[in-house]
Amino acid sequence: MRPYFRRHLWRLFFGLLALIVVDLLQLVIPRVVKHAVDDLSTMSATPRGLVHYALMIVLLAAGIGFFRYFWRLLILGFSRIVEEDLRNRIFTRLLSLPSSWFLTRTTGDIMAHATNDLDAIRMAAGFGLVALVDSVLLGTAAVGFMIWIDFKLTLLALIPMPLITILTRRLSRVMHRRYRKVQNLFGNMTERVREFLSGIRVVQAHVREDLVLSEMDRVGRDFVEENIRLSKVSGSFMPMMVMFTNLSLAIVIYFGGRLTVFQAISPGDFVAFISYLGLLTWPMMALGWVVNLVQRGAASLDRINTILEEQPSITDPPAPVRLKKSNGRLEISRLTFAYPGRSREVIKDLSLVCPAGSITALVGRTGAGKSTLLNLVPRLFDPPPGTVFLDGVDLRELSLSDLRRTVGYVSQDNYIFSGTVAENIAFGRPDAAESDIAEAARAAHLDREIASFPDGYGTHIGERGLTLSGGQRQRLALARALLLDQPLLILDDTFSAVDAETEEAILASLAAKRAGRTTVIVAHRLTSLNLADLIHVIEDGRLTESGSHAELLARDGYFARLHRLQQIQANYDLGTAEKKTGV
Amino acid sequence: MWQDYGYIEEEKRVKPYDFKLMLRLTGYVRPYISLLVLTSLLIVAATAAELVLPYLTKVAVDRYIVVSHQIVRTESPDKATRELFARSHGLFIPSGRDGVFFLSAENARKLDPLDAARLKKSGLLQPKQYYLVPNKPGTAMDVVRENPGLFQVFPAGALIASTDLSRLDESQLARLRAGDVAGLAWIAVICCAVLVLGYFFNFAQVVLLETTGQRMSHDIRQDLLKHVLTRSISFHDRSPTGVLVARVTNDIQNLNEMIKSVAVTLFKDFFILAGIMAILIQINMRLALLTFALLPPILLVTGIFRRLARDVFRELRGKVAQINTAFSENMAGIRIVQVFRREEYNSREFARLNHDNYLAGMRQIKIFAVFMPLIELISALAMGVIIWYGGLSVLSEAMTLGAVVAFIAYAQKFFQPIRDLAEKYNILQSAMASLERIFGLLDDRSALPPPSVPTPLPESKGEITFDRVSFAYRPGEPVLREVSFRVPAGRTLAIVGATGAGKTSIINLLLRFYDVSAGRVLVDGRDVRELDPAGHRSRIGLVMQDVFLFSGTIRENISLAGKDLPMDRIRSAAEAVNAAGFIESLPLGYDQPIGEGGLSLSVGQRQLLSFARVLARDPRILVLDEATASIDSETEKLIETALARLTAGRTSIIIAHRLSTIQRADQILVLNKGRVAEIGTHQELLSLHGLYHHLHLLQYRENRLANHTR
Repeated sequence: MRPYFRRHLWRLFFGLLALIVVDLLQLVIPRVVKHAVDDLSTMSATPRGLVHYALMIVLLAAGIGFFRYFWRLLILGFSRIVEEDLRNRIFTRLLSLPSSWFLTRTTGDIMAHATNDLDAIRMAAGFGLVALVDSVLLGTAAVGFMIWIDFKLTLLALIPMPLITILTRRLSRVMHRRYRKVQNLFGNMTERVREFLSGIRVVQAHVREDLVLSEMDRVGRDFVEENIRLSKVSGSFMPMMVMFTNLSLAIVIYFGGRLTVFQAISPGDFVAFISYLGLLTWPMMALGWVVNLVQRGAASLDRINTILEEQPSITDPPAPVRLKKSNGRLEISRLTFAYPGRSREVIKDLSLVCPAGSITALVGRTGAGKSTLLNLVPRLFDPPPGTVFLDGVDLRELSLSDLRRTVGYVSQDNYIFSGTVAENIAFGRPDAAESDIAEAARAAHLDREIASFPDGYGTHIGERGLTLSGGQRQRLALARALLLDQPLLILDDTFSAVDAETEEAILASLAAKRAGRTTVIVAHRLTSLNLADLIHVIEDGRLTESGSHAELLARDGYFARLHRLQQIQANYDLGTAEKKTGV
Repeated sequence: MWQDYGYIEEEKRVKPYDFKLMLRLTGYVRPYISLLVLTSLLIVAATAAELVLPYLTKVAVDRYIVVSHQIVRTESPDKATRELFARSHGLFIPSGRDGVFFLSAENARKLDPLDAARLKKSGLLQPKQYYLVPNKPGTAMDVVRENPGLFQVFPAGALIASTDLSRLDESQLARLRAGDVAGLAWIAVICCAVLVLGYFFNFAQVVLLETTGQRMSHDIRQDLLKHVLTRSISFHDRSPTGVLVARVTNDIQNLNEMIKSVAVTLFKDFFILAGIMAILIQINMRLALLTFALLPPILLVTGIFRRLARDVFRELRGKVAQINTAFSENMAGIRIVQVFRREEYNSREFARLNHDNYLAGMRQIKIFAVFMPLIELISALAMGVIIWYGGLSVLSEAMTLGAVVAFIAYAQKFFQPIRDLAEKYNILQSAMASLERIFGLLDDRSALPPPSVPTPLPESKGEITFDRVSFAYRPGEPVLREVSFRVPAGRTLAIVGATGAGKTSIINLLLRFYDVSAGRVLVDGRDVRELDPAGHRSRIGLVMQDVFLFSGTIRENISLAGKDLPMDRIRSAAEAVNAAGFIESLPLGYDQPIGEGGLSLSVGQRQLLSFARVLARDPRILVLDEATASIDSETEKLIETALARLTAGRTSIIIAHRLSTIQRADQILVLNKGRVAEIGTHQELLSLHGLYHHLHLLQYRENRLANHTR
């Protein structure tokens, strides 16, 4: 926080100054009332004097209002500035962190930092700061004035005050905890309802409406019970505060009243004392509250700092080699790889070449290590030095931007961002011409479907927009990569939800479009791999077979076995067949 | 501050009170009526306790702290004065000496102002204030005897000038005013008692109200959920899930907010306002009216503030939702962001959103920074008026000092509920909007009409007949035209056809997710419309292409098909469909949590799991939409054998994609543009040399093509 304090020194200075002025002016009002009451009790007041007092009170309030406007603007504004800046920094930092960092965290966890923790910091930096200054200043001043009126009476009146602070602190902590729990239960309830309604067909088909209702009844009752638990704390919080502050009032009525009777203090002092007592309630409550607030803020800041201090482990080499003209030749040389922090080797001593300008296919069972291998090429995970070469240069000697400019990568995870279709295709080149976008969509065989969308390329998709089918998402992801037309393009099982005919058509057009550049494909349908120049079979992290489609079939190994199996069970997709014949 | 689950309700402006809507709530209120009455009583009690405190201070000041009397002499009264005395005789305390009376400050205020002025003017009422020591046996009179110079002694009591009180020493004062101090002690004790009572009233009220509100909301939520669950599938097709979820959760929450913080607290605020107004009027009518004159400006300011605050709050909420969406999207799609080198671009975009949020936040700060001081200024104005006018009244003895002090205290409490009301108005408005949406949903009548007299389900054999069935989702766009076929009990029918040929519609009609437009769907010779829908569906096992798993354990997902299925039945079902292998290899086996937030399963595993789900229920009829996604070959094999076991002995309708499934079926139905193009066995259809033959040849050629490369 220190840099923020330093950078906004003047803002904070004037803000706190205004706050202090407000506090001081607030303390003056009871003095004015005291004098008026004293004058009245001895009948020495004059109508002119009364007008005077009244005007003074109004003027003081105007002054309080004026300065209050400024402290709110300056200090609460400060908290918003801190919030904005921290949020930007977290975001930018997160975008630079490697995939391995995200492996151990869910989006939900990260979101919690971006929302709850930032809120906590904002509260601490805004209201926390105010409450701290306010309670200390106003508290001491009010107590000071009270002591000035009568020391012993002050001591007596203050007896319940520490109780207020302690109770606020304890209760607000419990309250916060229960409130969080209520919120979680609400989130859980929403999630369950969403899930059941998404699966409404299953529910109705299995006639399980009663099960859903009884499950939601349970979830709902939990929510109700937790709310009641929360109300037991929140319901005793304010009344208890009121009770304890007014306990002081009772004390002052008796002891202060006595002092007035014995002429030790004037009736005006008595009334003023009661006013100061009222002024003291808030600082006493605030003190308990502010300690929790600052504590929470500090804990949140700690968590956020660990993100901000996280160093991106995948970085540019000190002296990057410039990649001149790339033709996308990929070579893996004796690569052994295990995910960071895990001991199991996913890839074992694997060497292969994807020749420049070729279409090379990787074939193998799920979990054989194909995706892991391909993740290493754009350096989503870092391969050991001297194992993966692009155009003969070790990947790790290239700058990240050079590398990622050269390598196109379509993963199984075809995430679609909310926005228009055009924006999603132009993801890697936001300024792409419309014609280029349309061309990429055509190459991915998505253009006709886009034309049938309500707003064509301007149709909103993603969350709250049109929902795309799995196959459409895959082809959109493909179009997104094709737009960039990179020397090396990696397609990791990107056709699993596309029917066989379309897959073949896409591959055929890819072969033409990407002539002279390198394409690496992972696919499960072997029939569609006729077009591949070279096929590598990977089993259990090792390369077991390599060769052309025909060579591999002739060899009668894993590939040939798999191919036969698929033929027997060949997808009899009449839908595509019908289209083909135009019946 | 409830989380937004990516869904913000478009809020139209509705009136905050809609009695027709409120009336419909009464059905839900009825079970809790006694609780609500109790809560209301508690609120009244708590508020009364709160209002009593300033009054106690007033009594302390007037009766025990600043007690003063004036002397009234009536030795030679004129006629008017005599009449005056006759009129208000009870106010004057006889001194025991002829023509001399005492007038207490409290009574002086009760005097007609004109009379008071006349008394003052004629010099009969002397301005000097005295403390009166009643002539009763006790220590007080001893003090009088000890200080003869300070007291004027009358038979009824002794008087000492208020200003001379300070000339007595402490012990004398203590003896003199022992009665006052005892009175103060009593007031302090009453004060404590009121405080404790007030605390209990308040606490009980909050908890009771929460309990009532939450239970009521829960009832409505369950009713609404039940209503939504029993809507027809066509209703669900029309309604986005997000909207329905928002109805069942957020809107109910709004309603609860209303029940809790508005409906009853509103009552409290009005009660306080009315109470304070009554007390103020009782203390001093004119000053009260003068104070109330500040109400219109306050209402105006709060009215403007309310609107501004609501608008900016909505804006802020929208911005926060946008930020959260952008944030979570970038985290979920982090790899794509990085691979496409969008880090800088996205950071810039995000910073722009973030800055918009900052600006909205600053606007909110400014609105509050103007409003709060304004309200305070107005309440200071009230204080000024009270000091000025109240002071004048004290000088003219129309009010006591204690009354003015109490007035200040009450006036301060007066403005708080008004500020609260502004806030509650907004809650009320959004709750009304929610209520309207909730009842709008409850009014939907789109459930399929149940049979008038549901035919009891006979022991089912499972024969299925479609008799000239036509169907359209939208009028004028028929999906099925005159489709007829019969599946004898225990046999398998494979349906093949292009996307959009109407395959899924056949399943939808059989399950009665929709009703036919024309023709009949018969099961065991009975029209499905005559059957109890729940009983009918419970005889059918459905496996869909996209397997839907609920969050929960594997075991719970399998037993979805039947309540409390014994473990051995679940296990044997899983074994029969080849799912046991992968399930047992999971870390927690059958108790492994899956679905949202749990382990993610592969397409093939999900498929097997859905087979187990159906098998565990052992339905007579099986309806299956085969998955099209490519699955690795070994899993494919597992699925194939599982399927064979699943269909054995059951009437099955399968939308088939796999050649193996099609060939094994007893009958194949080729659907083309909503019509039955061909129907028969594999061999029969091939010999027809029609559509099926054509399609089969195509597939065969494809296979040969693949062989050709060998």
